[in-house]
Amino acid sequence: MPQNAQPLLQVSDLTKSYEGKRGAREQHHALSGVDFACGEGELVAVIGPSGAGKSTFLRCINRLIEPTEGSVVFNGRDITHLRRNKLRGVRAQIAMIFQNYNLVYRLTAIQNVLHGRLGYKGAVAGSLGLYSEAEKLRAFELLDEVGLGEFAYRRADQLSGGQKQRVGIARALIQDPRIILCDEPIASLDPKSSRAVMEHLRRVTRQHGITCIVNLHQVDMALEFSDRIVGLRAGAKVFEGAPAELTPQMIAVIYGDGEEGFISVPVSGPQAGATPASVGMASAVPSGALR
Amino acid sequence: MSAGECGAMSTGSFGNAKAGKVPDLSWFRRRQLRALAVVAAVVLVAEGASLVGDFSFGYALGSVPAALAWMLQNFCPTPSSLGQLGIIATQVVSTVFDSIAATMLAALLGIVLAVLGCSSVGVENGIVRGVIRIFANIFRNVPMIAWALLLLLSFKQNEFTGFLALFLATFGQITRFFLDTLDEIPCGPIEALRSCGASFWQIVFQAGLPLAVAELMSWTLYMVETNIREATLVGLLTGTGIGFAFNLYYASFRYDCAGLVILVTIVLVLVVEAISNAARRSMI
Amino acid sequence: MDTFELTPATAGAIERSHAGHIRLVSRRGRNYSVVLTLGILCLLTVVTFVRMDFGTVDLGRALAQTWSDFCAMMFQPALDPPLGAAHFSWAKVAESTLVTIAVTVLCTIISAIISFFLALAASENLSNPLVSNAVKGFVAIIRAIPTILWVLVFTVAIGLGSEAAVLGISFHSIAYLTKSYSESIEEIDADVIEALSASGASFWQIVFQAICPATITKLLSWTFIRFEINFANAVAVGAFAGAGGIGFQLYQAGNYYYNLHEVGVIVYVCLAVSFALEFISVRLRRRYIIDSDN
Repeated sequence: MPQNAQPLLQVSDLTKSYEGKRGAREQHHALSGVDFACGEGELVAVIGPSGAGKSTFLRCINRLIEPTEGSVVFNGRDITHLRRNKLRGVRAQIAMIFQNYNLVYRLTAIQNVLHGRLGYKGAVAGSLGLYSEAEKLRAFELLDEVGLGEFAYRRADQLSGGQKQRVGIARALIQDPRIILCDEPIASLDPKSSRAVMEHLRRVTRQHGITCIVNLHQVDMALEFSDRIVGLRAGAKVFEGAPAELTPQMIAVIYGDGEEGFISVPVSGPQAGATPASVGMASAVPSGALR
Repeated sequence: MSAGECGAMSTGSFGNAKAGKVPDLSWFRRRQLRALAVVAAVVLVAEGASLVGDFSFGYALGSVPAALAWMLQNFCPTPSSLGQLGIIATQVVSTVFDSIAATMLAALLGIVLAVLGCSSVGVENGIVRGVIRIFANIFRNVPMIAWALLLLLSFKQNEFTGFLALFLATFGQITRFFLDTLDEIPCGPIEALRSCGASFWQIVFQAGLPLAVAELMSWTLYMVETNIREATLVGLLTGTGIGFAFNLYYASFRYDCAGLVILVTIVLVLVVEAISNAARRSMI
Repeated sequence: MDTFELTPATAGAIERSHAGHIRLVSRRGRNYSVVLTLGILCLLTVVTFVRMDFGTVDLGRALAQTWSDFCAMMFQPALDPPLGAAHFSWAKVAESTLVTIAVTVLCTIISAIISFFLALAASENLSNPLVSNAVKGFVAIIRAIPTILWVLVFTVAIGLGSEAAVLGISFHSIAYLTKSYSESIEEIDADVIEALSASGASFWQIVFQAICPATITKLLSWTFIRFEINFANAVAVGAFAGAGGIGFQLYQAGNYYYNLHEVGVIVYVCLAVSFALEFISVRLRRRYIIDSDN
């Protein structure tokens, strides 16, 4: 995609460092000096080994993690130091999708989708879950779009992994975002669901013109679906270019000598709804009291 | 220390059973030795404690059978004690009501503090969170008798005093339970809502409480059950409820009626437990 | 955002309230039990306050009095004059604290040992259903009786003294630990026990080779929790069982001498012991958990 004079998102010299365990010891850099820009309607894949800083990179963009240095300019506005309400307003325009879906498992699919509207709502209406009829219809429409129209009243913990992730996509879309940040969206899914999710994301970029930045473990998926690939290693950007430019040598550079990137291993992460309900504890003290 | 005893049993036999098959004996010998040391330590601690506490194992264990037989004989309600059932029932009912009210009021205050003080959805200010935790822990560990004595001085002996003492003792406890529960809710959904631009209270009501509600309710019901038992102790001091009824007969040597109080208490607690277990099951 | 295209199936799935608003939770799937339970509890709370005997004191003045008493207790603890009245010496307080801790230790050791064996009998995966249910039922009844009643009953049965206190606290403690232990044991994978019994292991071999290693950290955790509860109980019954201890002095200071500064000292001693116990139990638990890994 041709980039405008003013890119939608401009990340410059992004650095995140953590204090070492013993204070005085050297700092650990999760990200060091990453520059990145993207325009509208792009699907950018970010690849790299575990611990390369992919997650930190995404979370620095919407400031779930505060960057140590550098700046994030979104839609022509520097958001690196925004406070509270202004930050909320920006976050409302930047949606996010997670590896573990991160749905509130006790609520229904439709309630989870509507959570995407919270950034636009007042404190009271949002807290009480009072949405307008138009918002509700839009939520149904989006669930329809991801093929879950009839599951709207299912509790989130009664959905399969793929279904949960599609609810996650609908929750992102109802924000009317400019950008969707996807943190390993298919790492916990089987190959079929993974493909469905990736196809949804591609459709989102093509049809709605929304930019997607996708952290991926699977190089084959990145090659197939993305417009551009960014390779991170040890917190630094070591590659950026079109999928065709990603040579096996380059992959070896990104992943070290191992070739784990080629193997699409569905990592079975903990599920959002997996918290065990507390039936058995009756009047005994559950482990919560131990700490 | 008593825990060491269990450890001893497991490690000790573990060593014994496998020692014959595995060539590396030193590891097992070390384990056995350590197990032996733990057993010895437990015995020593028990001996020391009985010396300090002026406690005789022989006398205590020896007197249990006779004591139980004596109890069954004397604390067994007779037909004449059934006449007291009216008085006992009134006191039992007031104990149940007070326990529920004290728990609910404590839960109301506790949930506010826990929401602010927990590490998952709580306020960002670490100092505020720390103060809430310390506050809850202090309240939790002040002996219930101290609360009761403090209140007795100004509120005198009546039901309200008992209720207040129960409330103060429950408050610290339930805040702590709520804090632990809210600390442990999955952080993913909260992060998701934060990324949508949700505000503090939106996150609390749309993610924090829905994720924890079953366990919070479970703890509340647990506190109601516990309070019915604790109310007995408070009632002894404040002259209300089951404690008052028991003491009334106990102090006047009418053990058959005291036994009836115990019997009614058993039935009451079992019924409350059954109801709250049913409620818990339906809440998942 | 004004026209919406819904497939007929989805459009048909939408439920509306009587007022025509779209529901977010299905009418049929709705779980009312939380709301119902809360509602009933709130209702009972209101009823409690309506029928409460508030006594004859002026509540406002009593509240102010309580606050100043509370401040005297928490912010001006003292044993010696001018605030205190020297009813107790520091040595006496220290000695009573030791006695109470000793009672706590004894109760916990006795109840942990007995509960371990009762829990084996109560666990469904080790014992037969008849024995299991019998033990569980028995334990439930014991548990239903408040600790203080056990202690009072024992004081008339075997006389005043630490024996009555220890036995009284232990009874409730045994019931509590048996329930918790057996729940931990029942969480063990049935395959483990099956595999061992298939290979001809005896009951005690199964207990010591499978049950103990698998549950030891949980059993320890429960024991430590109970240790803390037992301390609170030991303080509480100290006043009634004639076992002495810090609870008795607390009772004397508050109920005979009416000296809240002295009560305050004892409260702080109890707080210190509780915090120390918690600290130790966290440390020990951490050590044991690490230990069980190697």
